[in-house]
Amino acid sequence: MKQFLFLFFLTASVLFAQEDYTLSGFIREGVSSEELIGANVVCEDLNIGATTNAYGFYSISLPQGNYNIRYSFIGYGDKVIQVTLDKSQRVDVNLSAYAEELSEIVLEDEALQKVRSIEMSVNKLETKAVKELAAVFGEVDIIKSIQLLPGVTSVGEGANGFNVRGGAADENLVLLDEMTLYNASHLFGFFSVFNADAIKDMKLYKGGIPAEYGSRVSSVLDVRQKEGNSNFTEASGGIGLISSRFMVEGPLWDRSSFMVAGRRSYGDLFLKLSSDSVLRDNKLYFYDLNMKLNSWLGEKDRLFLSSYMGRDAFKFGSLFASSWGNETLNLRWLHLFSDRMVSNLSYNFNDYDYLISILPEGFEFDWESKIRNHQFKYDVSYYHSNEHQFKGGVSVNKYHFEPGLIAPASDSSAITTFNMRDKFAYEAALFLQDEWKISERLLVKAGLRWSSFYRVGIDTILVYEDNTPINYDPMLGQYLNGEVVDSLFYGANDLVKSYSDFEPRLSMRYQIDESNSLKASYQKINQYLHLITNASSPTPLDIWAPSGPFIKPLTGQQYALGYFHTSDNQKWELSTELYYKNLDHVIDYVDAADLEFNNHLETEILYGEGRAYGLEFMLEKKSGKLTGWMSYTFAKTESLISGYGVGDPGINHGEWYPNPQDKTHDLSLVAFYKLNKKWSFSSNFVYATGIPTNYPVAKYEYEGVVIPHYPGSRNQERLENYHRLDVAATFRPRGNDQREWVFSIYNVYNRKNASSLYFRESPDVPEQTEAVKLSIFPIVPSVSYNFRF
Amino acid sequence: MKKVSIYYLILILFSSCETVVQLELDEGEKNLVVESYLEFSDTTDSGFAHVFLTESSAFYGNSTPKSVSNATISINDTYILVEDMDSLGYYVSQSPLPYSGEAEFLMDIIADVDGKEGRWSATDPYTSVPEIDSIYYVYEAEASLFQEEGYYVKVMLTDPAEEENFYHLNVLVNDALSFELSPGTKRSLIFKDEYVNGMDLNFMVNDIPLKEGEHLKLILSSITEDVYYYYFNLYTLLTETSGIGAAPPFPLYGNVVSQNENFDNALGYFQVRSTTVKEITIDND
Repeated sequence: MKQFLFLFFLTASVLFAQEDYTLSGFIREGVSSEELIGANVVCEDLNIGATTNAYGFYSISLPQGNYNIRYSFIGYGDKVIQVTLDKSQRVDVNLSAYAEELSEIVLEDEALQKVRSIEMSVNKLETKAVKELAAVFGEVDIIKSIQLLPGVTSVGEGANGFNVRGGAADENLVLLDEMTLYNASHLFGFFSVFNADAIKDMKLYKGGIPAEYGSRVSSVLDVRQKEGNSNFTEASGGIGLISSRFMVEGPLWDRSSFMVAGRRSYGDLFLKLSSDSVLRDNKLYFYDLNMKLNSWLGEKDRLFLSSYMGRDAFKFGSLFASSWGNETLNLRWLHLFSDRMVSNLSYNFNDYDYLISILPEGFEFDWESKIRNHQFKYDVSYYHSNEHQFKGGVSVNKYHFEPGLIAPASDSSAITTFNMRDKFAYEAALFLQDEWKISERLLVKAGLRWSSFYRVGIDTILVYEDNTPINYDPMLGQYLNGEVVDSLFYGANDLVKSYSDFEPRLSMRYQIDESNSLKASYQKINQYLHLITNASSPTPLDIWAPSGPFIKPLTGQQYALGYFHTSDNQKWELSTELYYKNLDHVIDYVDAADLEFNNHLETEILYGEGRAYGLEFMLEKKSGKLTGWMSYTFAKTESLISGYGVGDPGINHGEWYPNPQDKTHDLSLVAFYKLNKKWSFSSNFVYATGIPTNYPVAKYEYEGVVIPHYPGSRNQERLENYHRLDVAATFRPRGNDQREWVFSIYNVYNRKNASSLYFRESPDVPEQTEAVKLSIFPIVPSVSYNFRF
Repeated sequence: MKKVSIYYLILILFSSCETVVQLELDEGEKNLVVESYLEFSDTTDSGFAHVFLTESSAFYGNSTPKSVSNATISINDTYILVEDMDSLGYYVSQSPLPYSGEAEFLMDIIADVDGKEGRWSATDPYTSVPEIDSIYYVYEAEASLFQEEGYYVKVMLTDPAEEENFYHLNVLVNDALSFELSPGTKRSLIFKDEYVNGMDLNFMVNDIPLKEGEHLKLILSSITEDVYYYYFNLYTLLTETSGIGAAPPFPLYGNVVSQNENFDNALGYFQVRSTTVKEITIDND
C-alpha cells in the first residue's frame, strides 16, 4: 500500500514541476503542548496560508526566500517567526492563550477564516463557549449547545439524539477520536456522553461532507479528545447538581502524555440514605470514563490509544432494571513520511449494548441487545503544493448485530430462551480527494468515495410469494404479512446481499473580495445501517439493523449554496446557506408496526422517498464586551411512502407528510457579556415551530374503555410552538479559570412547553375526553462549581 | 412490556408536568362500533352470543355512546340475536348455539347508523382453552414501590405444546375488573405462548394485593392470533402512541368488514372464544 501511494503521488507530481520548499510542522498549545486543530499559518509576504489538520499538522510550499510566517489560533496570541527557506524545514510552534480571551467567548469560525475557507455547512464550537452557556441543571452539554446553531434541532426535551437539516437521528455519524458512538446520550437525551473537560475539538459537518467520511447521510459530528498536557500534570473538575466530573492529565515520559477523565451522576446515592428499604434498593445513574495515551516514537511516528466507556443504569425495586452503554477503543499510528506526507493507520472497536431485566417472580428474564464493530482505517494526506492537497484512504468495517436475546433470569422462571437471529456484515470504502486552488478567488475540493456493503451469513432469509413481504388487504383495510413460500440458509460469511456505489463530493468557494465569498457544495452518501424505530424520537433501547435483501441502503444527495460576509472591522459575521436534500429508499413503518423481537422487519416496512430543504441564516458579533449570535432556520422535511401496488394506500394515503423532526421555524439568540475579570453572563433564547403530531377525529367505547379514533393521515397537526429563555452567571473569585461558580436558570419564565400530547378520559367527568399536554422541564435553577489545579 | 413503555415510565418518574388543553379538532363521520362475542364454555358443547352496538362520537362530546337499536344480527345465517329491550343496543342469542366442530363462525349485521343503512360481516375461527390446574393465594411482604404487602392469587396451568396459543384473561375482584390500563380505566390481559410454549405456568393474577374476605374470579379464554393482535394494537394505541418517543397513532379496525359504500369497516371485533372460569376467596383466618 505504501509503495502504491508513493507511486500514485509521484506520478501526480510529474505533472506539476516542483520548485518550492516545504514549511511544515505542528502548532501546539503553549501550556499543555496539545496540538491545535484548525490553527492558521500564513506567509504574510506572499499571502499564502494553510490550516492545521485534525492532528495539528500543517504544510505549505514556498519559493526559496526569507519570510515572516504568522501563526494564529482563536483565543491565542499570534506568533510571527522569521524563516529563511533554503530547504524544506519543519517548524513546530507553541501558541499562548490570551488571559483576557475569557471575555470573548465566540464561535471558532474566525471571521476571515470562515470567508476564506472552502468549508461550508460546518460549525465548530469551542468547549469554553459550551461551558459558559446556560444549561439544564447547570450541566455542560455539547449536543445541547450545537442545537443553538442553524440547521440543528432536536425533537424535544427528553428526546435522544439530534437532527441536522431535517435528517433523522440515526443519519448523524457521531465520532469520538474516530470511534463511532451508536448512542451519544445519557438520561433520556438530557445529557450527551461528551465530558466537556476531556474534549479538545468538535466539528459538525451539516453538508459539504468530505470524501473521507461516509456511512450517514445527514451529518458528521467529529469530536476529538485532548491528548493530555505533556509538560506537567494538572487536574480539573466540577461539582454539579446532577453529576460531578474529574480529569487528570500529564506527561508519562519524554514526549508523551495521558488524559483520564471521569464523570458520574449521583441521584441514586441519596436514595441509599433513605429509611425506606424499597427506595434504598433503587438505582438511577450514569457514568463516563475517557482515557487517552500518546507517545512520540522518534521524530516521525506517534502512537495514540483512546478509549471511552459510558453507561446508564436504572433499577426500580423488584419490577425491572435496565442499563445501556458504549465501550470503544481506538489505536492509531501517525507517521510522517516527509514534510508533505502524513498517514494515519487506525484500529477502532465499538460496542453498544443494552439490557432490560424483568424481575417479577415466575417471569424473570433478561433481554439483551448489542451491536459490535471492528474497523481498520488507513489514510494519507499529501500536500503536493499550495494548489493541490491530496488525501486518500481505505477503511473496512466488520459488524456483528445481536438484536435480542431473551433468557430466563432464574431457575423458577417460566420464560424460555428466545434469540433473534444475529446478523453479520462488512462495509468497505475507498476515497480520494483533492483540494485544488484554481486561482486566488476560486478554490475547489473534489472527492470521490466508493462505498460497499456486504451482508453475510450465518443467516436464514425468508422467501415471500411474489417477493412481497407485506400485502395490503383492501377488505380489512390493513397491511398483513406476506405469505412465506421458502427460506434460504446462508452459512458463515456466505454472501446474502451486497451493495456498492460511488459517492461524489464537491465543494467550491469563490472569494468575491476580502470580506465576501460564495460557496457551493454537493454530496452523495449511502447509509447501510438503520436505527429501527417508529417513535417520534429514538430511545437507547432501539436496535440497529443492517441493509440486506429487504432493507435497502438509504441514499442521500444534498446541494447547498452559501454566502459569507465579514464586516470591515471583523466584528460582525454573516452567513446564509440554502440547501436541498433528496433521499431514496426512505423507510417508514405501517400503522401499529410491531418492531420488538421481530425477526422479520420486512413485514412492517414500506419504502419511499424523502426531501428536506431550507434556508439558514446566522449573524454573529465576535468582539467587544457583548458577543454572541443569532441563528434562524426556515426548513421543511417530509416523506412520500407509497404502497407496493395499485390500491395500496401506503402512509398518509400515499401523499407527502411531515417527518417527526420537521420544524418550519427555528430561532436561537445567544449572548455573552463579560462584565469584568470575575463576572460574566450568558443567555439563550430559543423559539421553534411545534413538531408534527396527530389528533383524533372521534372517540368510541370498547369493553368500557374510551378510545380516540384517528384518521389514516399522519403528522398533519402541530404541537404548540416552543420557546424558552435560559440565563447563566459565571463568577471567578480569582479572576481566572482556576475556580469558578456557575449559576444558571433554565426556562426562566417557566413556560410549560409541550413535549407531547395524549388523549384520555377526564378523571373528573368520566363521559368526557380531554387532551393533555406533557411538559418536561419547568423553571430549573442550578449551581455548579468548577476547579483546576 | 414494550421497551418504549419502560423508557417512558422511567422518564415520567423522573420529571414531568401535565396540563389539560383545548384543541380544535376535525370531526369524522360516525361509524358503527361492534363488541361481539361468541363464547363456548369448557364444560359444555354450546355457546352463547352477545353483541353490543354503538356509534362513534365527536371527541369532545360528553355523552355516553349512542346505542344502535333495531339492528338485524345473525350467526352463521342461522341464529338470530334479539335485542334486549331493557338495554338498547345489546343483542343476545335466545338459545345456546351448539358447537359441531365448525372451523369458524360468521356474523352478519344490518343496522342504521346516523340515519343511513349499512351492512357488515365478520368471521372468526374456533379455538379451545386448556384447563386451569389450580388456583391458590400466597401472602407477600412489601417488595417494591409497585408490590405492596398482601394476598396475591396464583394459577397453574399447562400450555399445550402442539399448537400456538393466545389467551385472554379477565380478573375480577369483588365483581370488578382488577387490572388498570390507566387510572380509572380497566383492562383485560392478553398473552401468548411464544416464550412459554408447552411449559407448566405458575403466575400471579392480581397486581393490587387482596385482603381477607375478598373474592377473585378468573375468566381465561382462548382467542385467535388475530384477536390477540387486535388487543395488542388496542393497548398500543392507548399507551404507546403518546408521550416522548411515541409511535404515530393509527385507526384501529378489526374484522368487521363493511359490505356497502355508505360506511367504512366497523370499529371493534367479532370474537369466538372458549372460556374456563375459576374463583377463590381469601379466608378470614
